[in-house]
Amino acid sequence: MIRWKKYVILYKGMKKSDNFDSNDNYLIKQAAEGNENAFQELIIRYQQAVFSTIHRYIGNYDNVEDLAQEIFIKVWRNAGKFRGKSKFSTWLYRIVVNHCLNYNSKHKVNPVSLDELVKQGHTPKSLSVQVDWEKKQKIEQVQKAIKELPDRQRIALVLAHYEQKSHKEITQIMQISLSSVHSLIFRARCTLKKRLKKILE
Amino acid sequence: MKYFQIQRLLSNYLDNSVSEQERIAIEEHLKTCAGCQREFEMLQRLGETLDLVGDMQVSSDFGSQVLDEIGKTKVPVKLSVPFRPQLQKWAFTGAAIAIVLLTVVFGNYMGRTIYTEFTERAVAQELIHTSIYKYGLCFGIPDSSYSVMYLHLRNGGVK
Repeated sequence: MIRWKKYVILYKGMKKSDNFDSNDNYLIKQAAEGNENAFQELIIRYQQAVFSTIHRYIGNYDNVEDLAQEIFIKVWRNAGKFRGKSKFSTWLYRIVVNHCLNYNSKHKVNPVSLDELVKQGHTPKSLSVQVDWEKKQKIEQVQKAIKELPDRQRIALVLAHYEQKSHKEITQIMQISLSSVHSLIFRARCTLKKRLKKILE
Repeated sequence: MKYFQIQRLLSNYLDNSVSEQERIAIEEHLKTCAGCQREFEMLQRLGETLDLVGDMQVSSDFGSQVLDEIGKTKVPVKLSVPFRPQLQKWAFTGAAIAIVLLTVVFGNYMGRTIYTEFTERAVAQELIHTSIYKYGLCFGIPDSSYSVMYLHLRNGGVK
């Protein structure tokens, strides 16, 4: 109810049937004019997706929140540059991808083990308090295998598998051709099949 | 469709990024080819294995933290780039072109007028000097009268 009340406050005159994309465009336009409430609504909508993409890409739980913060600050600063030619989510993911690729080129980060993760207090949703040792090992191997993929293959796979983006959307996000997207994802999967052969069998 | 083509398309098929024609061809092929069936199942198992890496929870005050950071860095609240910069850009460009054209046309007109006036004045001055010399007369003629004098002399000095 509170969420819908927010919509009423923000979108006077707008019908509830208006689609999500046009709402996002309206919100970013408001944010460009300095409306922090509108920007906060965008953060609420997309924070999980941004966290998820960054976390699976860099495999470092510590820096995910910092990176996500930098990305949203970048979105705020560049809100006026959003032309509305693409969906807001595509534009946002483009910023996320570029930020991740730039981050990776500057920082060589080693995957954090899950034991360390638990000590630091960051508990992924997939793990319960009583962690299955075998499952834990598998997760570490998978994270390591993903981390060892080349940057562009990794980000393409994260977008396709975890974020459920279509290949066509990925072409718009990464600004590459469809055949390049197909190739990146195909090669990523081939590499992961080889590295995770024992787990898969 | 050939075997190796199907193999490469299985990854796209898994992501539902194939055309209708390709989808039908792949599904028909999978019914008969054990090798491709195994490959497809392997891809599906890979997907399930990748899903073991769970999501990360977002802290409840993340949005407030972002807004606090924005406030700290004193980013200008209102970004000056308008939402229709194209129109504004064209308006400025059009105005600049119009100003340049007007300057050229007006300048050309004024230049010709001034040139003509000075030319006439120069000719008038020359004729007057000639007359002075010819008739031994001394005139204290103001500048503004040169054109008149020029016309007077041109008409044969008739009053």
